[in-house]
Amino acid sequence: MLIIPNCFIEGISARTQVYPLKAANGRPENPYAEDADPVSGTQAYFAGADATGAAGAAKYGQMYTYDAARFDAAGKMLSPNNGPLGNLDRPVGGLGSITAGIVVRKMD
Amino acid sequence: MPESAPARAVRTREEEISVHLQRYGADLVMDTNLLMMPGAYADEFNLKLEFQQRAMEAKLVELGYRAIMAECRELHEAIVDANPAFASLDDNSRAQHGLAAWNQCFGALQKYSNGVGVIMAMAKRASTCPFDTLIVPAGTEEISNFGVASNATYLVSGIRDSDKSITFGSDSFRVDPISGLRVGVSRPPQTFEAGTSAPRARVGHLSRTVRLVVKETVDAATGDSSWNHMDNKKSETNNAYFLYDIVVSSAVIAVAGSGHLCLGYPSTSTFSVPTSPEESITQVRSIRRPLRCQQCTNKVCS
Repeated sequence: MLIIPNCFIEGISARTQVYPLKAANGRPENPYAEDADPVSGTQAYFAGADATGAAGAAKYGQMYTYDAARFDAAGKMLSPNNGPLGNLDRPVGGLGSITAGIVVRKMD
Repeated sequence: MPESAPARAVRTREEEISVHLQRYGADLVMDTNLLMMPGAYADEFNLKLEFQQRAMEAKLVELGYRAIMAECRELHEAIVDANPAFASLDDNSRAQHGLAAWNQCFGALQKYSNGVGVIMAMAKRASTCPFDTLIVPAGTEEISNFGVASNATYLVSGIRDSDKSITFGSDSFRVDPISGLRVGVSRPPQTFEAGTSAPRARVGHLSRTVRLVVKETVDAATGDSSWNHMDNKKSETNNAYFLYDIVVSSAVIAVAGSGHLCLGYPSTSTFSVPTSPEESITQVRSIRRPLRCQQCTNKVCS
C-alpha cells in the first residue's frame, strides 16, 4: 500500500508575500542564501511582512523556493516553473483555474 | 544424578496479547411502554439504530484513512529506495532525488494527460506489489472517461458463521482501460450546518495543506511577468517571494484485500434498567484494531 502524495490539487487557500532571511532585510540568520536571494531549487528561511510591508518577525521556517514561470505580454511562456507546480504555473488552465473549480486541460 | 526421562514433544502455551480498543457509538434508549405498540417500537428502534450505523460507518472510514495517511509509505520515498541507480548515493543525494520525485507527484492527476497511468508506472517502479486498486480524491476528472463500471465488494467479517457474512458493493469504481486498475473515488464527508438542502463538503480524509514559495518577477519595460494565481492577474512586484498555501489531496494505491481495519461491529446487548423499568438500553459498540496488511506480516507494507 502506497500513498501518492499530493497528486491532486484542490485549490489555493492563501498567497502571502514573504522575505528571505538575510542581512539586507535585517535578518541575517539564513544559513543557505547568506545575503543573496535564494537560488531557484534551494532551501531558505523566510519571514512574513510587518506592518510596513518589510520583513517582519514572523518566521515561516525552512522551505524550498522556485522561480515562477515567466510570460511575455501576449501570455506566451518564456521560462517554465521547474518546481512542483510545473506546467500548472500558467495563466489559463493552471492553479487559478483549478481553484475556481474549472476542469483543467492537461498539457504534458 | 540426572533424571532420565523422554523429552516433551508438544508444549502448549497460551499467548497473551494486550491491545487497546477504542469504543465508538452511543447507547440506544427506548421507552418500554412503547412495546404496547410493536410496530411503532420497531420503527423508532430501527430509526435510531440506522442513524448509529451510519455514524459508525463514517467514523470507521475516517479512522481507516487516518491510519493509512499516518502509517503507510509515500511513493517518493519508496521510489528512491527501489531504484538501483540510487543505491550507492549518500543520504543527501538520495534526499534530493526524493524531492524530485515529490515534485513529479505534486498535482500529477492534473499535470499529465494520463495521470492515472503515470501514477501506476511510478508505483510499479517503486514496489513489486501487484497493485490493482487505486483510490483517488473526488474531482479527478479523468475517471469519468472510463466506461467500464466495476463492483468492489466489501466483506464485513467477524461473523462466526461464514455463510452469514455481509457483503456490500460500491458503484463508484471504474476500470482504467490502459492499466487495468480499479479506480475508486474518496468523497469528503459532508456537513449539514447550512441545512439539508445545502450540504457542504468538509476537508477530505486524504487532504492536507502544502506550502510552496515562488519567486515572481516583473519587467516593466517589456511587459514580461509571472502570474498571480490568487487574483488571476499578472504579478506586480519584481523579485518578490510569495508563499502559496495550497490544499492538496493524496491518492492511495494498494492490492485488493489489504488493509483490514475493523472488527467487532456491532457488539450488542439489550437490558432493562433496574432502577427505571420503563427504559431499555441497547449498547451498540464498535471497536477497532490497527491497520494490517495481508500481503506481508508487517504492520505496514510498501
